[in-house]
Amino acid sequence: MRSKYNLNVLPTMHADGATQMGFDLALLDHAHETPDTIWLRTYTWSAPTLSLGYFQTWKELPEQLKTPWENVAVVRRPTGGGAIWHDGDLTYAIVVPSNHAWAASARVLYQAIHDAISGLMASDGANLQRRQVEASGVESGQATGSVANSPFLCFDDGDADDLVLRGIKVVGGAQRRRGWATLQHGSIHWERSSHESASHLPGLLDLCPDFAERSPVKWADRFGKRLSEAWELPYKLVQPPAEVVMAAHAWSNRLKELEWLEKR
Amino acid sequence: MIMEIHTKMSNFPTDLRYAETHEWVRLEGDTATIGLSAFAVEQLTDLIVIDLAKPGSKVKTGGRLGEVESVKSVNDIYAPIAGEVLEVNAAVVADLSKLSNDPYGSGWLVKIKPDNTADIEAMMSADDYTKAVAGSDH
Repeated sequence: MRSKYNLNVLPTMHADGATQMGFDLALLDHAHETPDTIWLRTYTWSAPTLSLGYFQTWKELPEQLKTPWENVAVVRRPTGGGAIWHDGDLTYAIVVPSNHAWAASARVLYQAIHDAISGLMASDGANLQRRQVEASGVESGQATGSVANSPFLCFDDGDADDLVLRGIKVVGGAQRRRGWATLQHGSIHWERSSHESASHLPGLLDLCPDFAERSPVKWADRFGKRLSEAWELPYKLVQPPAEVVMAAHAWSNRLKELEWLEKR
Repeated sequence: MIMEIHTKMSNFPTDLRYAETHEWVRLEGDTATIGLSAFAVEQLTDLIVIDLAKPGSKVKTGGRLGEVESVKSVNDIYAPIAGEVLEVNAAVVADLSKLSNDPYGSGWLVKIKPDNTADIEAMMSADDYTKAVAGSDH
């Protein structure tokens, strides 16, 4: 039976952090008007950027955590979780209406998307797996601690729904759940960064040197089609609606203000 | 709160009114106390941090009353009624186990002066909420 939902995929965008987060917030708002549509966008970052989790406000961070990142671009995400250093990673944002089964709970959506990602990764030679309960010591759906107790970087943290390769996290996700839709962010750690505070984290290509798809942008093109197949949704590559572009612009201007970094 | 309903049914106190988004309201005099249902708390699993509207702020019905993070997911908390925030439960902000362990007692979230107490009567009874919870099971 044909799904009543569509999968609208936006072209991969290369832009700064405020622009990317602005687009995601605009799409989440726009989803109020499109209850039969799942929106997917993938993006890369025009400059290495530290994205903070929603509850990681810059002014509340201890000085020793801020110091290594003081000269880099910083943006705060609308989604939870820890900070992510976007330096060569591939990021995706997916907006799922609340009436869709995948949006029923945080865990269901993590697993649905991660299953699609791991399936596509396997076809290119990387055997990603969900972090196992035995290995992580945490049950599925549970985080490892409070904001204060959790590692600052998302990729230093562990959740049962992470995707790991040789035991090392290479795909993490975080969500913003609103009444009408859920936004899920995910980062695929493509390769190791040279930044002193992130260079200890190997990426996909470091852990799997023979991985067939070298380009994250080309992989992103295939990811939308994979989701379409896995979720049995009609695939449509679309340009962002004009109202989303306008709203994204307004959001990105706000996100560039220091106030957004400092306040909730 | 919006979440999947698939685990055990909770017993919902009959002296409270409930919203589809899982907030409860208790009216005492002209003050309405608002919290999250035990069911909502159960669905959220590990609560990490909460942020609530400031005392003195005005909230609209369906507007945002706060945000709570759980499992890397930031969830909006909605105002089930309109009014002015009188008090925030600082003890819950400091210690979310109060919300987890006693959602109808020490785990209350905010007290509001309602614009119109009739809005509370229009909310769901415990019986209606129980049916709504069961009906939204996936």
